[in-house]
Amino acid sequence: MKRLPILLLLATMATSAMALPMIQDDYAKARAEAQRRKLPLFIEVWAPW
Amino acid sequence: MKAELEDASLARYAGRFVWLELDFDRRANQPFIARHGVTYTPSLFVIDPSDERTTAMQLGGLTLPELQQFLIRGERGVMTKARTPADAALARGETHMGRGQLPDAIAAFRDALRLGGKSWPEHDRAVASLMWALVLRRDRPPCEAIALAEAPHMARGEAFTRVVLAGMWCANSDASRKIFEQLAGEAAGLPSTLRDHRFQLYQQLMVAAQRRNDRATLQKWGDRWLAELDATKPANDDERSALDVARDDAASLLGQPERVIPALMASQRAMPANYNASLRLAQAELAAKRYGDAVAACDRGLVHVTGPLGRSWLLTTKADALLGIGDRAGARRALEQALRAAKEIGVKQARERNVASITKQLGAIANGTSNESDNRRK
Repeated sequence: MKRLPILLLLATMATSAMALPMIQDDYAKARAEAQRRKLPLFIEVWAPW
Repeated sequence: MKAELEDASLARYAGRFVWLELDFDRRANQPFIARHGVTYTPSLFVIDPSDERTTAMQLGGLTLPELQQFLIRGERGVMTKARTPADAALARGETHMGRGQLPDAIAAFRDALRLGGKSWPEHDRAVASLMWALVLRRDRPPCEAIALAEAPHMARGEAFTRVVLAGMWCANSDASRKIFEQLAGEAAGLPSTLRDHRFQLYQQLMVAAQRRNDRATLQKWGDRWLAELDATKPANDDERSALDVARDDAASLLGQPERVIPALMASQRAMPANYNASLRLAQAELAAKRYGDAVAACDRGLVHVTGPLGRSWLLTTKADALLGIGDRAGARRALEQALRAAKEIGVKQARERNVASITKQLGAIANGTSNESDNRRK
């Protein structure tokens, strides 16, 4: 993935782990919550490599 | 990308979106990944939850200002209509990208560029989006031609860097490779260039030097990359893991795996339950012909691996190490396990590529012609 054709992308982190309340690995739950709250749904598809 | 997503300045967006992270290699996420044609990480989406329409889509990382613009664009796409025909075409392209419909996305990005003209504020971003769609489609001639026509004249920012990266991947002649190498060197030195992209530029510059047997240039970029990696203090396990991926790639291209083994061992000690740390250490040990150590590292990783792609990768690495020791029966068993795991990979292209490669390795073992595979696929 993260190179093209073998692409690898790198994850980094910094401050404030509570800035964004991330839902983990549950699209149905996130979509339902977004519908209920009438908000757009942001999604990051990531990999550990 | 997680650094940008964790930045405190995004707190003002927290209540304006619902936020979701999906691990590419988890079974539960495969329906979304298949539906949206995701083959690249990170991939970012903003989706209208009412009809699941993609209103913003991005392949690869974004700088913090770009991420903020991405969020605003995605939010606007949910709440309002696009402003101009060119904006609408660009939004349409992103929607198609979000569904994995590359030909339609390419057509929409071309429309957007035609409608917007050179002075359109989104011109450079649209060029970069078009380039990445062409790269993903492996459509090299137009990718190379557009990058050659656009990159030299673009404002020096992240869109320029993305177009140059695409050009490096698509370049198909020595003349265009020379132009892109020069531009890539420039992009690597820009303060605006995202670290992920700078590392990919280093990688491409090393590949280019390797192609023409220019050892001095290969060493120069490799040294610069490893120095930057060594100077970066990871803030947490995710960042440490990401840096190790890059470390492994740099050392592999340099052909100097011993150089990164101490750092990878330190990561393994710091993150004993992280399979990626074990895998990266195993790969460096394999390259350094420390086969017994590589097998042990793979076994540690297999205890903690979370998905079939990671599992098959660990097992093929283990098979290569066992072949290095001369244990062909053990290598065959590891490959048979790897094949079972590979058949469970959710993403079709990755599944087919891995199954074909492992099947070929098993055949080579059966025929007595096996050597270490190129075990760096993903």
